[in-house]
Amino acid sequence: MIRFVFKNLWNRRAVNGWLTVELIIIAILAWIIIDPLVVSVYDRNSSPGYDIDRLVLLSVSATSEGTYRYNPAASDSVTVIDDYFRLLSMAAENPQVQSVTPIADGQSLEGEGMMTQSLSTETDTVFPIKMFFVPGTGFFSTHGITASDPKTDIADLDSRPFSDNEIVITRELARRLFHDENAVGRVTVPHWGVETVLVGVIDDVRPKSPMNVTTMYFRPCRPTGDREFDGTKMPVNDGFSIMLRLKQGVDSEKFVTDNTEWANSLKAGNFYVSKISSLLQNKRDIEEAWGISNSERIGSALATFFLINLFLGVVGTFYLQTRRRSTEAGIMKAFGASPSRIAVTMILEGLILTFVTWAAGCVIFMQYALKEGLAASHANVSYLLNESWVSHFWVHFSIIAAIILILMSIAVAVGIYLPARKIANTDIAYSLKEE
Amino acid sequence: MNTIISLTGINKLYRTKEIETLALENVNLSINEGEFVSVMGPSGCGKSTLLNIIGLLDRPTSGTVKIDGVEASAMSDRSLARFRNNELGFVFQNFHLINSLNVIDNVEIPLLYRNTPAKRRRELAMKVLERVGLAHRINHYPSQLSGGQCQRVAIARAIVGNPKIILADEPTGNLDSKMGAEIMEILHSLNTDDHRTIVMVTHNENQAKLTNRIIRFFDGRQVQ
Amino acid sequence: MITTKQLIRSALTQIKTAPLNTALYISGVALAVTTVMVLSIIYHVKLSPIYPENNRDRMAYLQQVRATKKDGSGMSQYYMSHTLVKNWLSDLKSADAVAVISDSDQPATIMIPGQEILYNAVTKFTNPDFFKVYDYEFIAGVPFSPDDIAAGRNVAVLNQNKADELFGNAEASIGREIEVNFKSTKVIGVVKPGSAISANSFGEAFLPYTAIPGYDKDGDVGPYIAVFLIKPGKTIDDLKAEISEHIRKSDSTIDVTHYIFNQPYTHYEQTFGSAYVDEDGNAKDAKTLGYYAIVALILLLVPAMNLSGLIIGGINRRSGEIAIRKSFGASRSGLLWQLMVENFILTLLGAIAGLFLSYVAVYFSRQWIFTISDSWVNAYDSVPELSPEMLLSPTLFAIVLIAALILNIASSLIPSWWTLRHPIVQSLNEKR
Repeated sequence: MIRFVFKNLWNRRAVNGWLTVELIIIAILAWIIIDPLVVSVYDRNSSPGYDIDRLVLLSVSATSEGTYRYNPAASDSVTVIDDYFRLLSMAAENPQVQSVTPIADGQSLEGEGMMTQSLSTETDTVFPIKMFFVPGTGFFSTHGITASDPKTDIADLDSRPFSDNEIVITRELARRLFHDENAVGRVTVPHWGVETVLVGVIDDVRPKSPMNVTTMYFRPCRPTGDREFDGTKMPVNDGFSIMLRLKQGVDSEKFVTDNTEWANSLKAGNFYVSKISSLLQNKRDIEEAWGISNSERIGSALATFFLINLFLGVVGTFYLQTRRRSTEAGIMKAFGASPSRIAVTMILEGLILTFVTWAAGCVIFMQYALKEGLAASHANVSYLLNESWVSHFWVHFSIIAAIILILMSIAVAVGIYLPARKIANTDIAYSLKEE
Repeated sequence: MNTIISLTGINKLYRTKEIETLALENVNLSINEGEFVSVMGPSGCGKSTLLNIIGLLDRPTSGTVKIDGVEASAMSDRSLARFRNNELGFVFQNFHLINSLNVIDNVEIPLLYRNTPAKRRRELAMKVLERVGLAHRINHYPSQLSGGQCQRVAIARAIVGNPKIILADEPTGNLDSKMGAEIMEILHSLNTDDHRTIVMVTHNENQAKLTNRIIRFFDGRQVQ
Repeated sequence: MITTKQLIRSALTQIKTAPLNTALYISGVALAVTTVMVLSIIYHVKLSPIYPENNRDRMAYLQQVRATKKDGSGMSQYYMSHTLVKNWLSDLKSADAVAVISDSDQPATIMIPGQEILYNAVTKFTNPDFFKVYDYEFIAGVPFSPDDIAAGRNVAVLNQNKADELFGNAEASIGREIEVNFKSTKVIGVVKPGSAISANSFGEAFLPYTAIPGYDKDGDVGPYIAVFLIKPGKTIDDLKAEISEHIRKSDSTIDVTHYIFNQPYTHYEQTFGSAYVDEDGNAKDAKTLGYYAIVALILLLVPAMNLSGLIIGGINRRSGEIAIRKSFGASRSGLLWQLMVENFILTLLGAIAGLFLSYVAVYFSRQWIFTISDSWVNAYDSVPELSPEMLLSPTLFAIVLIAALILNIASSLIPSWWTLRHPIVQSLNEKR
């Protein structure tokens, strides 16, 4: 049967000419559209390395001097810190909240800010993303971060009183610095030049949605009411954030809708909550702002457009051949072919044509891809981890090629099915009737 | 002798939105194994319809059709297809070869639907093409053959599966007298040498007289 | 020669005799036209005069500013500081008005005294010229004036939606006190709302930028952008020359050199360029009109290839009819004209369906579709509204017609011409 199908295709090459050209064009366009789309969707949906589902962020602002709500008595550094912790306690009192942890302003995961700073050993220097955390506030468990090194205990990291020269790093950072994931106790030199000990290695974390998982380290920092930042103390006078871990079974987006008034009521000194949002919503907002959501929408719309066109083209081409094919189908049926066999033969023709043109399109696009590369994960920092298939050319190429083949095959098969069914079920006597 | 084809009380009614046509009316017919039967009658009398019903290409409006002892009306489409493949071979006036396939591929068609392996298909096809004298043209396409050669290919296709019954609908209708005579010779040889049952629709009185029996139709009814 | 009535009847007969073929053809056309029209609507909304940006052809924008220390010790990049606004933008002879807008303090919180409800409002902190550059229609009250600014009054103009939300109606809002970022402010005007799609001009509340604490805190760069209304008779180059001269003079007295990347930009450059410009002032990832035209062409030509298959099928079906017409004296060009016009009628049906579908598509995707050309997307804080002038425009209708023509010619000219080459006898002898 396959040989028969090939012969049919070859002998009808003139008639199938338009369709062949269109299939090749669509195969190439599919690469341009679907490659970045798949990479983007994959990156967006890959695990962030922490438990994002039940996290809510409260953005805390401070009323400014000169406004009537400003309380000068609450502006000294001691009162500021008291109010800081008071607000944290008030947030923790919500019955649906499991735990809270403070975040340096703008520096949360899925937040606006991002900073990279160097860490060095004798032989290597890496530029991971740096995040601050306040020791003793349950930062790691609140985020649902997990330990990578067996010598790392999350409960211990949450409760220990970090010294200024102790940090926690991610697994990939440990591999890059020490070529060994188990790096607890090792020493590294950060950009501030003082030897620093790794007290914990955690699983890799993605700082922000459009980016892939990347190297990170966490530096302890204590809040201060003085307006001076020295790397170990973080001024909170102008505001900060609070990360809430909700209890099991509480939906973070429903929590935000139901607790907006509660959030508005949280006030301590000059601090007030100006915004409450789920981390899932923040993730979506960043994806919108970076144009990721739009790129995916356009990519999906264009892919759908071209696949529908392919479908219409195939339907049209095969309907064009209905008269001749009905006669042939009549002959085949007269000699024992069943209608389903006839339909399957026609669909197989289309699929083989698709396969050949897909291969041609892939070969053509490969010339471009070998020079310019395939779609890359979005990276705003120095390093991408090489574990994902996105960074391995041939794996990446094969995966996208397979996806394109499947999509094109579906469009072609569905497009042929309608005329094939009609042709295959034509009454034999009618199709062979002499005029 | 066995009755190989039996039609009882066959009626065929064609219905369109505005018109009803009774193509066959109360036809009762028996054909024995090994017979060479001609069906004659004026244009539009229903002879091609009769052949289509015998060949299980069309279903009667009422009545029963039995081929080689098997009643056709109860069969599903799938079973009918298999039955046609095994028991019947068709030769059409317009040859109905597939233009995009060469001679040997055309002949192999019935064997495709039996899932015969490629090598065996080729062997059987070559055998029947030798029989009809076209073994030297296996790679030619229908457009490169004369009418007589096309019809010989069609006959080869009809017999490659070794069917018991051959149904020929005006097999010489599009051929000149010389080619027509060649075709009739082949058909007669299939009947006398292979004992195949042949039912042939024809306008040609001379050709009909050389067959075992003539069945005449007029306005959908058998008159002789 | 075949009459128009006969042509229309013939086209409608095609629909009856080959309904599936026709349905596929019209669907294919509609799909192509929908895609092209969505693109065209986006272009139209962003470029044509749309309230309150009725003067887009005379608008120019100055945003990115790079300041480099003359001694090479540092560099910063943002927008203009308050001092730069004063030094660069005063007494411009090429501009009728200069709107100055602050990038900071967004979104503002609004409260009504005595009530504990916090409202968020998209707020423009700007200057009185803002209402000269943008043609906002005042339903009640007046805009703030240079006098209000000089006297240090805390005043605000609201858009009608926000006024309705806070006070029930526009008139009732005038003279009322509100707290904007906890600062007491009086409402002095209410405007007809613009659409959030025109992000440059959109606001739910408009306040003088002097209301921002520390608005005149200085630096080499700052948070202020400028939108100019070029004087009639003057060009963008005149404006650029004037501003460059002001910058040169201002820079000569300080230890910083400012670079403004060949700005101000025209509205087109601002819209389809990028927020990030390279050293030569070329906007990165700028998509020219030519790029969109090529995209539109691909979106039309690929479907046209498909549709030509359906056309060929239809013509083959009518080969007998065509042969008969030929045998009774129809010329090839006459028959070609007939086929093309019949096909155009069907194409036009598909195009109208496509236009309607494009409205539906734009309506349901209005939250994001107008941002697709933005390299940095600022999400709308309120659902953007679509006005009739955005969707019903002679330009758009003309584009529909042109798209239909292109589709018609691309899909049917060659097949029709090719089929008409068949000899009569062959067509007459072909089985139905």
